[in-house]
Amino acid sequence: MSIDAEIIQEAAVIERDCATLLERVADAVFASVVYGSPVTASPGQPVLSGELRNSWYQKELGDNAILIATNSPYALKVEHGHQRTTNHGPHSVKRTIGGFSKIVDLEVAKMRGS
Amino acid sequence: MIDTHAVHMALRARLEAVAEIPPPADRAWANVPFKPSALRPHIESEMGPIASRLISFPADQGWIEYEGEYVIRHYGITARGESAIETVAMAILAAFPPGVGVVLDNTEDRLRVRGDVGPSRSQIIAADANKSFCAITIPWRAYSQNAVFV
Repeated sequence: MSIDAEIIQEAAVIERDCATLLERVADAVFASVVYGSPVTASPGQPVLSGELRNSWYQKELGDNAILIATNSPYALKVEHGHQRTTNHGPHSVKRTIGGFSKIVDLEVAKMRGS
Repeated sequence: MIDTHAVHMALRARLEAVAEIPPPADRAWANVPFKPSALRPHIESEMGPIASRLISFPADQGWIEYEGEYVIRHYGITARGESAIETVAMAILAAFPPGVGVVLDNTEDRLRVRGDVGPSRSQIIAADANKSFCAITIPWRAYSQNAVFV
């Protein structure tokens, strides 16, 4: 195989691995925000009727971007701690953003098999 | 192992040094009974969840890294414009610039406002009938020595 062909082949592998990593990180971020995570210490969305938790969704935007969002009208108040909760807790998005590098490190390590 | 209460108190002391925040009678601290006045701004703060990991080898007497957010909610009176609430938010952010070190009583421990994920503020959010709030988030990172294994 020529060097050019090897580089093209390797580039395809890298592109595939990046796409896989993006999906895995997005899933881990979603889980951290919605259900909580020991990696980030995020508490997850509080549950009363399930409406808030079930309102969170993921959407692929293309160009290696994934949107994670909610359309709940009271999600912002819960996130910032204004609306008190009896389970899980506020600040899940903040803690997930704060622990984002840990999520990426862990998913990379998992893909490497370590 | 870090004293997380000491971290909380050090951050709160820095907040209380901000001249623009409401007076002591209008400050609500975690787990302390408080009834906000409907006629005056008030402020609340709390420590968010804290994550930790061992970052050195060996574990015995190694270094632990802690990360968390100190969250402040400043409540202003609704329908009086943005200026008053914005002024307090900016003053608080100015007191916690990215990268600044915060002194702890235990000088072996290190506490710093994060710069990789810097402090931020929310938009003004309507809370109750007559109060709107702005949430200011102060991400912090601290280091402390791990326990001695026996």
